[in-house]
Order: sequence, then structure tokens, then C-alpha cells
Amino acid sequence: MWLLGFFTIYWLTCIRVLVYYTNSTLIHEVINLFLGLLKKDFLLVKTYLWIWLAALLLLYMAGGLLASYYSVFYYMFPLLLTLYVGHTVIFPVASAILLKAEEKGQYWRHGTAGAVKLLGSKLMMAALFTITSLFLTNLFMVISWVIMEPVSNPFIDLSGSIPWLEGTIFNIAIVFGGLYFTLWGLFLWGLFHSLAQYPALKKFAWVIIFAVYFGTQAILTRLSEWQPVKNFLQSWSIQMELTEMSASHFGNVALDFTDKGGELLLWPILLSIAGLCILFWAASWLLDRKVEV
Amino acid sequence: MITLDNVTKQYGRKKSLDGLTYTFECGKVYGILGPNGSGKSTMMKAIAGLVYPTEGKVLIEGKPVSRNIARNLAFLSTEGMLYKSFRVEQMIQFFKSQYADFSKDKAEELLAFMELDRRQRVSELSKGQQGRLKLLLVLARKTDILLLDEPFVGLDPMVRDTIVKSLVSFIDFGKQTVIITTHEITEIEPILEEALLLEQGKITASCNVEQVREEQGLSVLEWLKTNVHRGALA
Amino acid sequence: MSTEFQTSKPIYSQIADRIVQQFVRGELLPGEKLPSVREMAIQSGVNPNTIQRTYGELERLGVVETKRGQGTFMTEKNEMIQKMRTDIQQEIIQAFIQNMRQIGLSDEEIHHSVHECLKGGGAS
Repeated sequence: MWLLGFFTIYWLTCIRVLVYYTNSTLIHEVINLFLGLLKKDFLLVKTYLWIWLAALLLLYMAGGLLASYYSVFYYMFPLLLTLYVGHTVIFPVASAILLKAEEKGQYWRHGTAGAVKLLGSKLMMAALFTITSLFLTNLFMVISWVIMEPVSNPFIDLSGSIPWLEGTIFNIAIVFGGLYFTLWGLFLWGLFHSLAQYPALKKFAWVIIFAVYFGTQAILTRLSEWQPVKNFLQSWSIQMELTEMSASHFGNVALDFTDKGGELLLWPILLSIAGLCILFWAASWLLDRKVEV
Repeated sequence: MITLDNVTKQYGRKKSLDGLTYTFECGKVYGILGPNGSGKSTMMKAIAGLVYPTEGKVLIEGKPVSRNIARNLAFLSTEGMLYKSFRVEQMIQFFKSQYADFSKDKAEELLAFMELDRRQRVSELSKGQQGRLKLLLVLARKTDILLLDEPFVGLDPMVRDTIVKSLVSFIDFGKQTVIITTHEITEIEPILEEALLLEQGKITASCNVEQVREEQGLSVLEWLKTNVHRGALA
Repeated sequence: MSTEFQTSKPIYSQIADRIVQQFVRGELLPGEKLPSVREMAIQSGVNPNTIQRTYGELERLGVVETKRGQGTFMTEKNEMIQKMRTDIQQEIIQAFIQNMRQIGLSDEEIHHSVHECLKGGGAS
């Protein structure tokens, strides 16, 4: 009882503080501004989202029916895996749709929101798109799994054969992979439009874009092959308890930062995150100062 | 005060603005007239901080302009302002969320004035209705500077009268600096104070509207015809 | 409805003329309150600064009076009203005579034709 009272007071205080801050005009404005951007981006992408989810459902049902008809239901797993990996493409495609909507006249640059917010909103909406789609794919995966290998209740029986942990890591890896391509895309998009200022360079814009991307990749690869760097990258890791089966199932697909044995290397992950932040910041900087209407 | 100091904007070999120098005073209504491709739109975008001069400076209240100026500047552009899939209402809500100075009451008033249906989608609106919605979105804000780039394009003459009335009703005369680029001079002439003629990226003539009538007995259109050098007016 | 303006005259003075004409025709009564600058600007579709100038000019001529905090009112002074009537008459007559002379009529002929026209009930 005493505990309950304490928690009630605690929560009420929290809510009061929150209300105070959201009512203070500055924060209120910033929140409103960003929510407005999110809503706009949602409206811009929602039709595509519904169509895509419907297509995904149809694809799964058609595939499932066909596979059951020929009694080769296990064929669904390669299909599902392809779908999973395809999600790394969905992320950048959703972002591209959202950027395309602004391309005409680039009027979105006229506004009170800074480029970080403008691009952040697009990024979050594209992530929502990907995660929603991924969620549906996960659902299909679980259904297929249950059909193939019946367990009493997949959502409670975590110790059953469904590899929840590995699945979660796999999902995160896919979103991360999608984010990687998206942020590169955003940065190169910003660079491409910034080049419009220099008509002399405009003809070679595509060459420059490719050069920047592949140049960076080449340098990074070279760098990571260098022994001191290699040692450093492998110096911090955590051991993951992956089952034999799931490691072979999922480990090869996208978890290039895990070793076969389920060793998770932390430095490469942290450095990649830092790299992505730099890309995002650079794209925002370009949009704020270099892209022209 | 908006100062254009020797502003040149070059796209390849073509100079869209060519050493443009002019100072727009606070609280006045300016009309920018000139043939197509004379650099009117580029000038507006440069003032809005969305186009960067190749040479020269654009200063607002003495400070170099950046896209940050949107806080205090409303800009009606010829394209890209409206999202096709949005309803009128959603466009208004979006603008409300983006600008602290956007007045919901003013927007409501303008909605009635412009005879727009809040439930309609932008894609279903006629050119004229889209033009009116764009005007609604900028006039519902309270800014020191208002830029209207070709607000009459595609509007049929019947609604131009409404538009002019809405401008007179909703512009904060004497406080707001208004710059309007246009072809349809006759309709807006009574609300202009200064008229500028822009040709090939340069201001080739300028006049005070009432002065021209008083001293030369000319309307702005007639004044324009005696001053225009090249290019036909559409 | 915003009305068309002639090109040869400043807009502020055209609106002033219009107010005087309405007054002389009795559409505006002595002492009647004129619309505020903003209302008038919206009605005629012109810049409020122009109306400001119109009212200023009319006040200078004594046609209107501005009462602080209340607005602008048409004059109630009889001699002013009378003067405006004669002014407008003079303006019309002078324009008429000038036109007649331009088409080559002598003063006598003008006189005669006006007389005939009025007698015959013309120009009713």
C-alpha cells in the first residue's frame, strides 16, 4: 500500500514536470514543429506503405499456398530470408520516396526547421516503414515456423525452438544495414544537389558521387586490413550465446560483425554508428547551406 | 530593410542576376515587373536565402541572409509549396506546426474569404484554388517580409479581384515589406507603392506609382511600355 | 467591387473626387461617418496608404473632418457644401465649353444650343 502511494506520487510528479515543459512555449514549439514534420512525412508515404504491406501479405499467402500445394512448405524459408534481406533496400527506397516528394522546387528548405529535423523526420518515417514491414515479415516467419515445427505456444515458450534472441539481433542488423545505405544515400543526395551550384562540375556529378562512395569504401577497407587497426577492432567483444542451428541460419546472412562462434565485436559497431552519425550530420550541413532551390 | 548589393547569380554562362543593386525599404509594397526569364524568381529566392549569389551580398537588416530567415519571412513560390495528396486542412495544419506566427484564426477567416473547402485534396483543386490556398498559407502568418512570386499565374480574372481584396485585407501595410512579382499589373497596381522593372538580371527602371500618375499622367502599365527595352510582356 | 481607375490621375485624388461626387449627389450626407481607412481600402481594393492620403487631402480642403478616436466625417458646414456644389458645376461647365469650342462653336452658338436643348426637353 505504502509502495503504491509512493509510486502514484512519483508518477504524478513526473507527469507534472512533463506537462510543465511541454507547455513552456519554446519546447512546445519545437515538439510541435517536429510532430508536424513527422505527420507530413507520414502522409507523404502512407499510401506506399499500405500498398507495400498488402503486396507483402499477398506474396506470402500466394507463396505459402503454392508451397503447401506441392508439399514443399520449407521452400518458404529461403523466400522469407530473401524478404528479410530485402528490407535493407526498403529503408533507402522509403527515404527516396520521401525525398522525391520534396524535389520539385525544394520548397521544403523554406521553413523554420533546421536540416537535422527535416532529414531526421524523413529518416524516422523511413525507419517506421521498414520496421512495420519487418514486423509483418517476422509474423510470417513465426507462422511458418509453427506450421513446420509445432510448439505449444510460440509467444510464451521462449525456450522452444524459435530463436527469439537471434531473431531480434537479425532484425536489428537488418535495420542497421538499411540505415547504412539510407544515410549514404542521404549524404550523396545532398552532395549531388549541392553540385548544382557549380555548373562546371554538374556534368560530372555522377562521376563525383561514385568516386566519393567507392573512394571512401576503398580507404576504409584498406584501413581495416592494416594490422594495428585490425587488432584494435578485435580488442573488445562480447560473447553471444547463439545456438548452433541459428548461427548457421542467420549468422552468415547479415551479421558480418559477429564471428562464427557468436562473438560480437563492439568497436566496429560503435565506429559504424559514429560513421553513420557523421554522414547524417554532413547531409544536414549540405542541406542547410549548399542545396539550392 | 532588404539590401541587394551587386548581386550576380550565374548558371553556367547565363547570368540570371547581373550585378543587381537595390534597397527595399521597410513597410512598403513593391511590384517587380519584367519579361519571363528576367530573373524575378531568382531574385525572390535569393532574398529568401534559398539561392546563393555567385557574387555580391543579400542583407536583411544588415545581416547576410540564410534559409533561417524563414522565421520572419513568408514566401509564396511558384512551385513545390503544396503536397498533392494532402487535404486543404492538412496543408493548413502543417504550416501551423511549422510557423509559430501562423494564426489559426486568420487561416479560418481566409478559408471563408477564398471559398475553399477544407476537406478537398490539393490534387482535386483547380489552378485558381491552388493559388488561393498558397496565398492563404502565407497571409495567415505575421512576418516582417512577404514575398509573392507570381501570385496571379493561372488565376482567372474573376478571382483576381478576390485576391487583390484579400491582399488589402491581410497585408499589414506600413509594417510588412511586400515584394510581388507579376505580369498582371493592372489588378494590383492600386496596392503597389513602388514598381521596378527587371530585365536580364538588372533593374532598368523604377518608379513610385502615384508619382508617375501625378507627374507623367501614366499608369504603371503605360510607364512600363515606355521603359521596357527588350522582350515582350506576356 | 473595386472600380477601375483612370490612368492619368493619381489614385488618391480619384478616390477623393469620388467621395465629393457622392456627397454632392446626396449619397453621402453632411456629418456622415466615412468608412475607416482599412475598410475603405478593402472596398476600393487599394493600398491603405492611398486612402490615408485621400482623407488627408479632403481634410486639407475642408471636405471632411477627422475627430480623434472617432473617425472621419463629412463636413457639416453649409458654406463648404455650397462651395463643393459650385465647384463641381464649374468643373462640368468648363469642360463642356472647352469641348464645344474645340469643335468650332462660337460662344453665341453654344449659348443658343444649350438654350434650345433645355427648351426642347433634351438631355433629360
